[in-house]
Amino acid sequence: MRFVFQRLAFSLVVLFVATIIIFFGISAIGDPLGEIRSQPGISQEALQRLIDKKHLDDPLIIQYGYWLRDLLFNQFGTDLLFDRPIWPELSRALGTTLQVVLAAEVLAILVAVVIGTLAARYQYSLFDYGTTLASFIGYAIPVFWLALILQILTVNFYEATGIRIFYISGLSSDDAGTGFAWLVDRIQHLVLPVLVLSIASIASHSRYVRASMLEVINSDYVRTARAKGVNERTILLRHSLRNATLPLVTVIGVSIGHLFNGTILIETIFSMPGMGLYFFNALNTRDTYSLMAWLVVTSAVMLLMNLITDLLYGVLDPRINK
Amino acid sequence: MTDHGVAAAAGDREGLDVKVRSQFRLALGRFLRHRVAMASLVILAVIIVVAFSAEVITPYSFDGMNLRAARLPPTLEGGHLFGTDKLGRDYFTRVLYGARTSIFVALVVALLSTLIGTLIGATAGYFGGWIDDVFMRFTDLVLILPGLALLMILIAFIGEGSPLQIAIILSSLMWTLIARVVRAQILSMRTREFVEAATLSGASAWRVIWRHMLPNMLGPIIVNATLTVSSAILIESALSFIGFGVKPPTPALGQLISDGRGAMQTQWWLVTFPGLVIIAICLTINFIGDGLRDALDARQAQRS
Repeated sequence: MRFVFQRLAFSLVVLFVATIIIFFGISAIGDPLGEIRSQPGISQEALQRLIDKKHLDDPLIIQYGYWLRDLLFNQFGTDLLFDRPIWPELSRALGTTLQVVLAAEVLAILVAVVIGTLAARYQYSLFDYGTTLASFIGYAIPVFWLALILQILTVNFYEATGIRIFYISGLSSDDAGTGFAWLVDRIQHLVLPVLVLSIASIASHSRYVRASMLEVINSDYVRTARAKGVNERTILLRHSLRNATLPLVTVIGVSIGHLFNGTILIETIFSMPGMGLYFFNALNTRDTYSLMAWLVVTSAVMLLMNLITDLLYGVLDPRINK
Repeated sequence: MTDHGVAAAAGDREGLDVKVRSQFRLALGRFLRHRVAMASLVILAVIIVVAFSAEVITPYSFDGMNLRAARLPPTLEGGHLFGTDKLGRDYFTRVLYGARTSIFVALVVALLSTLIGTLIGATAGYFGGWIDDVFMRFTDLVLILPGLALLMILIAFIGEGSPLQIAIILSSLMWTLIARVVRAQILSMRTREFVEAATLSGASAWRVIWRHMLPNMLGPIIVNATLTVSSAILIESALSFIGFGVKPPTPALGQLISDGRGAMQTQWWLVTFPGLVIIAICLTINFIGDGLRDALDARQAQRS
């Protein structure tokens, strides 16, 4: 327990140092106003206003100070070019991305537990070899490519049959309706991105469950249960599954990190207004302030996820808290 | 459900060991495993040889246009195995050159990350102290910041880069995997008798690491270096796909996919083939890595 919070404190310090490095780094990429200067019809006064507003004439360390002040007291302040408040848009983006990421992680865990358990239960069966091969392929598929292929298939299917099963871009239709219709519409939009995003996690989680399941199946207490005459179903579902899926909790934090990586690609491809697309746009316009806000929010989410999994593991496995 | 009952009954009949698994199945498993790794090695070798001798193999050049043969689907006629793009450039040739770049980047990444990772991991594991602290904090950082985003920020400094530049930038984050492996191995070996014996007989720290410890962990290092190759290919392709990778006109597989994306509904081959090549390369490398793991680590081979 103390270890968990010690690590959290360390991470916060590391994160603080990282914001300094990255702020100075991004500011050094080039003229932050290069983009806007190249536009015709921008007046000298407007430029000067922007420079004054963001203190761009001051040394970097002062700029960093202003940024830190805005971070702490001003909800990240405003973006570089248009002076729009950052937090409303960023929090909307976070909501979108969390929907996708959590749905993908839950899907990955559910599928992986079923596949991993069955593969371990029927070790060396056709199912075992088949899913092993499938997970190897899952590791080898570039997510962005899979996304495009699914888009091609979806559109071709729609053109051939006129039936729209899934949408290939955005988060909702304009005429989504309300209540149940809205929910169905949202799911139609989310299925493809979530599916694509979860492929790699399904592959790695199912291997993980299979390995720990094998260990449990061959352990003494399972042998004891069997000797007592407990039926196979109870052994599998009550005695083995619980212990075998426990270690999966430890990799959820890391896995969600990978999923956040994936959203940068997936949201760009599926035009979803989430964190990934936000980052992509901020980096392309060299908007230091939006980028920094993105970094802080993303790493805060990651820290929180790691903290939750650490604590969760302590709750689920009493041995850890000793 | 019936399956379940049958398996349980079979288990009962055989007494304590309920895992129904004949010697034949065991042998088959081992055989398959090695055969898969060997087949992968052959396929990968073919891909690499073909990619690096593209000049000899295809009659077309990478950017030779022929507007009369534009937008051809894959056909044997004229040898356009992967079709042509909107400028009539032979897509098979373009994919070969793209694969060459991606393989080159991945190999350099694996080499560099293995060197850096081994050096830093060994130092951190053996000496501990502040080097270890700094190293552990750096790994913490990589755990809480999305790696792809960090790479994109680094690449934003140079715009897009040459294959070598991209490889160096990828290595600057990817060494941590091997460093962690090496560090863990060194920590577990530090108190072993053979290391103590070497230390007591006056061997210097570096001699102990280099001559006594390193040979004992070559297995994990080689396996992880192999896996680094395939993840480097995936990451490089992703970066090239979103415009933060190898600078055009140098072709890369991710970039080809990105270029073909606009016309993908009508010209499916533009997106499909570069992706299949990426999968082929990564799949074979992972199979080889798996085979190596079994071959090099007797304990793990028995468990899985």
